[in-house]
Amino acid sequence: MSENTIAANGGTKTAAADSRNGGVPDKVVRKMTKRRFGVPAALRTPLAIIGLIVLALWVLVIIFAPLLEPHDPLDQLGTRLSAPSAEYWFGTDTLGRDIFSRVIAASRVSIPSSIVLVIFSSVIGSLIGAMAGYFGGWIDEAFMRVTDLVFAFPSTILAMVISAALGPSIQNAIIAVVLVSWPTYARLVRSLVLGLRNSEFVIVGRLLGRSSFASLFKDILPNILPHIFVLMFVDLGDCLLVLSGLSFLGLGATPPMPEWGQMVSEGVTRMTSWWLAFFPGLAIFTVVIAENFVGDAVRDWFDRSYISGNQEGR
Amino acid sequence: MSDMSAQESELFKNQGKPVGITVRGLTMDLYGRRLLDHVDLDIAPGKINGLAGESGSGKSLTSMTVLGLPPEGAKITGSILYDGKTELLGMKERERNTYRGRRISMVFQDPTSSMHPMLSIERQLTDGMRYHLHLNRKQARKRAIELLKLVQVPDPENALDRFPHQFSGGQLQRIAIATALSCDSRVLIADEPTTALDVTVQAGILHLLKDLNEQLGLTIVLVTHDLGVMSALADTIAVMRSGKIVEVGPRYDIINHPKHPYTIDLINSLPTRIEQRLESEGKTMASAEEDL
Amino acid sequence: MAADMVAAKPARPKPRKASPGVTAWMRAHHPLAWYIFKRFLISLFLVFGVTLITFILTNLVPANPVNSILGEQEANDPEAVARMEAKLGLDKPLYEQYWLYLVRLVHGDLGESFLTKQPVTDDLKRVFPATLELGGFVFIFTILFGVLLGLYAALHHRHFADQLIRVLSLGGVSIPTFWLGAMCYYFLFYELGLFPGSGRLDSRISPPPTVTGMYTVDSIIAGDWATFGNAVWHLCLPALVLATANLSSLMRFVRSAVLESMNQDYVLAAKAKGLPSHKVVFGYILRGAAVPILNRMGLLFAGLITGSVLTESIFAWNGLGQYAFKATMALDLQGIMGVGIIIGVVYIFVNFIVDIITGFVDQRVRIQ
Repeated sequence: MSENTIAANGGTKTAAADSRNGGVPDKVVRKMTKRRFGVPAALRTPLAIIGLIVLALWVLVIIFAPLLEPHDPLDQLGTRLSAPSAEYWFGTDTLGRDIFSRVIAASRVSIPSSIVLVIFSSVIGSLIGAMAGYFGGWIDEAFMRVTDLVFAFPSTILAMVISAALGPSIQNAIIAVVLVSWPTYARLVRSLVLGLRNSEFVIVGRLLGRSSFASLFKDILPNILPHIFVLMFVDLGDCLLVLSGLSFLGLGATPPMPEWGQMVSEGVTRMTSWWLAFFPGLAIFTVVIAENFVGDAVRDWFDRSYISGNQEGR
Repeated sequence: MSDMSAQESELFKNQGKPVGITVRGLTMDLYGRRLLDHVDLDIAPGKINGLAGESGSGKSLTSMTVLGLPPEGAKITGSILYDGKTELLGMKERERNTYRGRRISMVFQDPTSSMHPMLSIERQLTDGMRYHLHLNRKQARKRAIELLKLVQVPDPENALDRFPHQFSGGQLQRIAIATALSCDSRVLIADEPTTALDVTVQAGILHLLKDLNEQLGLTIVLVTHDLGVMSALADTIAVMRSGKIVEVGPRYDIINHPKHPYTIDLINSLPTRIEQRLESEGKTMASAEEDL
Repeated sequence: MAADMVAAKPARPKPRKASPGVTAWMRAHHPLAWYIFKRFLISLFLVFGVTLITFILTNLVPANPVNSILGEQEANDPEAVARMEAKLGLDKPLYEQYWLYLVRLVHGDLGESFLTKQPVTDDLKRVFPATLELGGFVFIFTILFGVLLGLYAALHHRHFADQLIRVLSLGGVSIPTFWLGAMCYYFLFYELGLFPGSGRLDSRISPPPTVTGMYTVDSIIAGDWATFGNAVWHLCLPALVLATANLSSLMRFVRSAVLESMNQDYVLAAKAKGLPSHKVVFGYILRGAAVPILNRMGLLFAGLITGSVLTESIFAWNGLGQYAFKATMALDLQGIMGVGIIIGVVYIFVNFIVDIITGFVDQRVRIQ
């Protein structure tokens, strides 16, 4: 009976500890989660496949960017504002720079910075959320009030003010967005930790002599990581949108460094030449939609295999 | 149950003789998998019909199909006859609705999840009768109070205005039974009606079912994996496995002289049987657990 | 806005003394009023917190407002700097500055914007209705269609309609708002001329007499249908751009909330009662999804604010978003603080309303 209850709480990693720590048999705290191997059906949908292909293409573009650029992205080529042509596939901008080359060069700025952003805010948010959820009491109370406040304050305005105060640069934009986006992770992790804190396998771990630190990081965290990864993945596209939005407002990457959001904003000042804004924006759109196609499928698969369990039997 | 016969005449004056259901060759395929395989089942009128089997054996699937809620996309063949004359399979949804909840109703396993947490007891109890019996709010409330008395929920007036989270599991299951009876259903399918409840309240629910069966002539289909519950209550028992009926018979025969090896296994897995067997082998429960 | 909230305080017996007896009595006999009262206190706390955040933020900004106001020549004159600092109260300790700031705030004084050289309160009165008009319209539109389409998709789970709505909404949340705005501007205004590209009214039309500050509402009040039509026409493009991402994300959310509710046992039980499908859908399924959907409204509001900053800057919609952006770029501290407070207060107000509705819809939250 006790085995079943433990299994219901998901896989545990306490197996290594128990034989050392006393007479509780291995099987009591055995890792019970059934994991399915191979590519799950949920990830084999047409949308997910399209998304994966597009993302893979963008990874290739990032890796081989210098080889793919027909011109130097910073080189002012004389012909200003020329429409897309065989020579300049995406046209040239107000300074006569090749937009195709700039869109490719910008992928090395925009995509990695959104990944960095997600990593920072997830790590910071998860740590704070885990502490709050695990220790409870005044730590939790203080934490909840702070997240309430950050949520109550319009995050865009906050991010705008922070990056304006720090001075426009892509690093400062990342810092600003991290400062307003960590509570999302903190809330998720806090609620997950709260759910697991009093589950049998954690209590058994504590009874076997684990410190609270070890209990949090060795028993609880491994069970939460998949949730965090899914959120990170789903969040990635949003972060690219927010970052490029800041750049669009002039609070992110600064010229001459090519960045998609900032290129669109250059285009908006000259609406007669549609290609200025169209192609960099299209680049953002393809990355984000591909990411969302895959993220949607990942979440579907995750929900099905981790959360709802098996639906058979009815 | 002392004042019940008085209530009963008021509540159930317009019902006739007990009704049975005949299931013949019921076969269901879902996504190429055969879930039910030529199930023949006689749900005898006015009796408690046990349907046993492990989870995934198709017993719940059978009862949901009889109720008229098969899984979406299932291909079903066979026949389900209500009262020996009305074919329920292939009936139009509109007409089917006049059977589901009206003539055949269901009580689910976990009352805390089968009751809507945000709707009052009154709303959930009277929804069915207001639709099927065309009662107005006042009439429905009056009838609801009588029903709650029938299933022995204390302080029915007050209970109607409350919400599911304010009741214990046992009380909720009584309310769920009252809901199932609200439209003069002649057949009640109880799917694991006590499994989610505390052991102390299980007996009360089983008693209630037995009383309803005896005093109202209600036909009950008792679906459970718990042969202990089954042997206490059911008149006949059908045992299912992998979508097939493997054995049918009166309770006494099935429990004491099971013929099919699977039934024998099931019976032997009853806790009392395990103890008996271990004793004959000269072991105790504790030593057996160590072997595991 | 703050004054409105005090006025909107729910009718409740006056708590003479907050003795445990009174709270317990309130909790037992008027759980709803008690719940609303508690939410109101929390909202007040949050409003206070927002003022604190704006204050701290603007003090962290490494910009020197005195130098900016005085200009280069006078900034070199220590006496002038000291006079200005004294005038702005910058020579006092921080907590006292904060106290003074609160006192002025209660009197509706948000200071003077050094960008517009006007009292921030006046600026906000001018720009807030513009954003309220755009955002409010999109808010209502989004909720209506977001819930309907999300519900429709969930009820047709895995069918064509669901797949189509899924692809469209994934696309909608993936389009950068500013890019969509730029493209709409270019194609629908510049190339095709279907809609006006900037401003809230044609320049030849004078705004209707100000009542609410929202041109559509004011023109109806004035009975000026030509102006009303023009205002709505101007509203189209910004509203379309602002709605796209928010509608898509709400639709997705409603779809999954309804799907989750559909899989609950109580839906099966409702079907088992033989209720017709419309009763099951609206009485049980939607009811079960109502609380998460309601809670999502706060997020929708935040999304609208984000979107309005980007949208307004493209369509020269002279509203809060554009004002916030200009104030930020100029590091106009008073302006930023004013915007922060008004958005924070409206957000808290929206959430307060949502909490109250939740309290009516779901009994359980009152008990907590």
